[in-house]
Amino acid sequence: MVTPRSASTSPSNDVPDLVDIAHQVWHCPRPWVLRYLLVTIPSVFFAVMVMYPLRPWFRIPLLVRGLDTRSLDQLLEAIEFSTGQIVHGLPLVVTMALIPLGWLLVRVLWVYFEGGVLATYAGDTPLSWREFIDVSWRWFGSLFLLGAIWNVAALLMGVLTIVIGTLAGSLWSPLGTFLWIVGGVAIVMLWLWFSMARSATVVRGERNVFRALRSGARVIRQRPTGVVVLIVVTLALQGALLWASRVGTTVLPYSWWLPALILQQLAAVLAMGVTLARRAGEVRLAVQVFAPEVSDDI
Amino acid sequence: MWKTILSLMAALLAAVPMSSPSTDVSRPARAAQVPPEEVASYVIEADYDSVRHQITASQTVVYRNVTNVPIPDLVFHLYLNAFSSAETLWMREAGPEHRGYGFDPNAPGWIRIDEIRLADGTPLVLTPLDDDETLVRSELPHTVAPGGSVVLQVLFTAQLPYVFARTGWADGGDFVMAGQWFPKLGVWEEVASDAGAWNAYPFRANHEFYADFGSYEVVLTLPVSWRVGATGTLQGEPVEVAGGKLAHRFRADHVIDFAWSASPHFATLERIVDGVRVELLYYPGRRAMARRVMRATEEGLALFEEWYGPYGGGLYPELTVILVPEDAGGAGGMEYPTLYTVGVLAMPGLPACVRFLEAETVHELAHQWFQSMIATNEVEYPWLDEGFAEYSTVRAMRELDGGDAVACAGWSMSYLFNDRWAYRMNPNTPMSGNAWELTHFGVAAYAKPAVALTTVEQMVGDEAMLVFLRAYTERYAFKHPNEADVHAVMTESLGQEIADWFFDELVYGATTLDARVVGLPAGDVKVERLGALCIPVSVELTRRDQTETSFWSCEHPFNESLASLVAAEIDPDATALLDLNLANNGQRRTVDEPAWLRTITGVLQLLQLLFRGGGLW
Repeated sequence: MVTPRSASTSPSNDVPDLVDIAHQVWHCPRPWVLRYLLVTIPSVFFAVMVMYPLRPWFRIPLLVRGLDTRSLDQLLEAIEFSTGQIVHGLPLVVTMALIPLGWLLVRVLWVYFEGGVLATYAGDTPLSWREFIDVSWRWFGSLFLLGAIWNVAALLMGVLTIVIGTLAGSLWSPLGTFLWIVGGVAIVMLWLWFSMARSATVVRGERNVFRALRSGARVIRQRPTGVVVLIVVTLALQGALLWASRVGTTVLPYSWWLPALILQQLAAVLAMGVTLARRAGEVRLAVQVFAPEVSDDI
Repeated sequence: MWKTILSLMAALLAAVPMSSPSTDVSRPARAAQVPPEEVASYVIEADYDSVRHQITASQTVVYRNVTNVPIPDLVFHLYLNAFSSAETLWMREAGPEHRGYGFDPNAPGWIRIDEIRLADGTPLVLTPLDDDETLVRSELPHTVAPGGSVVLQVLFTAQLPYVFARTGWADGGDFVMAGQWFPKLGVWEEVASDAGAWNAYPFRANHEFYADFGSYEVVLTLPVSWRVGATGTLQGEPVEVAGGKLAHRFRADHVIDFAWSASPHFATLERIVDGVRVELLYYPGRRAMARRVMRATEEGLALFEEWYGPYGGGLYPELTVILVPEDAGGAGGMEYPTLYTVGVLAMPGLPACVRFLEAETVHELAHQWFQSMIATNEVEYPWLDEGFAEYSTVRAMRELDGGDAVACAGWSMSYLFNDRWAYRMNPNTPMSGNAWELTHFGVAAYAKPAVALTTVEQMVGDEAMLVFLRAYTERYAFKHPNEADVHAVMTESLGQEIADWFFDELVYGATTLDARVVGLPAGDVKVERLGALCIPVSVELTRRDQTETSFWSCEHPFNESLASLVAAEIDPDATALLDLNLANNGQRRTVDEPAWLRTITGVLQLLQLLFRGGGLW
């Protein structure tokens, strides 16, 4: 059995100790490695499968120059006249069609392991691999259902925003803009709520998704500052990493593929670490709120 | 034939990088142009009924015969009659649609001359010259002698259509754009030493307009709350008149046309740019777009004055810009003297990095030189106006702050790309020809001239190109030049060979070029040219670690040794933009592995982002 992590807060308020969280994530590398491999293995496969038929294109200086200088003029003209040169290995179209299926598989596995990831951060003692798999399986159903409900809710909210925003905008443009912003904020709030609900599910041992959603709402209500700080900091860090990766790779000569790969993967690994830190932070906030009720069943 | 050009290009390559042209070309300030003779002048008092969308007006026309041939009659354009039904010649040729906007047969347009008399009261009889009455003629009781003039009094009624083909009303009647709204005289020209004729055609789908310079004094009577922008300058404050309306008096001198736009909803932005007062009228919900248009206007004015001389030859003190409302896109994208409209490309939510609105703005601004000031015949030589304006747009979009036509996420696309793409779809198109005879009007008038002039610019260099453009705009301001005049200026500025080549092969001819490298990776390498169009280009050959560049003229096959080549590329700097296919200009013997691998890393990064839900999971 996992010993539940004891509640700990920053001395002055409900903001979780971000440094401690980073420390925790660093010293529990399993979720990190697992997620990196889960994402990277299919990505490498599909990247090579997509690019292999296009090898003949890379005998065309115009195309390479277009990629190097980021010129759509050159790139689009090179592609326009080069479609007949695609090598018919695994057909490109089939590969492109498999990507959504690959995404679905990764998504299912991601949700599967999420229980184990959250339990890793909720407990004081490390989980063995067997415990990790067991916990993952135990929470898979609830987390999958939460994810499905979130997808439906987000889709509905998105469609509603588009329809109402567009209609309002056709009557009065500023109203349309306002409603688009309101809709966008609502989707973000929805995302936050479901994210907290997932953490609260595992912390409270709550399998009922609707009670999990209530628990998630309770965490946001009782720890608003902590939630906001956590989200803002982690999203900002992810954005900064993405920007740094882009800027860094842009300045590299186009032939320097290995330094570019190293830079991109370093950014990807760090970004995943930041995502895990967010999950760990969410778990901590849930533990703070539900400390007396933390389940032995994590 | 090309030795001179090759020598010039070699010198240019050695001394001047073939990169984006600089606008930092110093020149002495220039005085205003000599004003043209005022040939056709109008005094119009017009009352606009905003409920019926109708103009009732009286018009005094003073027409001076500046030719050496007596004039026996007068010919008027009644352009609005082209929109009287879906069955007119204009409509049958157009579809009926214009730039993607359909015609509403329930809200047609027309114009009717109710009365026309000489100043002494003698009534004149009008005879239609076409079935749709877009052109009418009146015999004069006495010819107008050379140097003489005739004064006419005209009463007319104009019904504006629901906005279509640049003119009309929209927004439930709260917006009006009035273009070609009054009876306008044709242009009398000498066709021989003792003969003249009216240069005036029935109004057809593709053709635009041609008129003499004159002065306009126009009083527009509109509902009280309406704000109006027009050609010329507002004279004093509007005056209240009967019926709860205001009379706005405008005056414009040395112009070929008069247009106006009005709405009770207009907000304004004003700037003074190099001594020119710029007023932008727009609907309040489009303020962000208006700022973009104003900024492009300011930058464009500075660029075009640098390249082509003072706005309006220094004679026009004001410029009015109309950003049309969303449901009036059919009135956008049109030029008039000292006024132009934009808004065809002002889609809601257009991101700042997609700059087609800026391109539309500078295109219409460029017309202030080529249509309003130089005033070529847009019916007989559409490319002289549109082509030079489009070339100016290509050039200006390279220089504007914020990047070219598209500048998003580090990726860019030039405005020229659109013109090149359009040209490549129908390259066997001469530029010359009457507007209604051109099968591919857009290519002939816009795309091909832009690409061709840009190719000339690349061949001769930016400095020489500016010398040609300045010579043209200075010499022919207010003079209605034709193709021969442009040919002559080009000859003087750029040389006989370039000028003859440009006109013979591109303006009057339809020759094309596709230069290509064939044979790699495994066969015998050849550098060859398909099509009869001759443009000397450089050829870059790479053999193991050595790269050498040669020039390839048109008269001789490429005779360099092509053995042991790693790569061959024709025109690596893409100066011959008329080449139909730049992708086959170069080939490598082997795949560029580092580039392929680098691209894989980029695809890998995108897929990783996709598979981890963008970092939000």
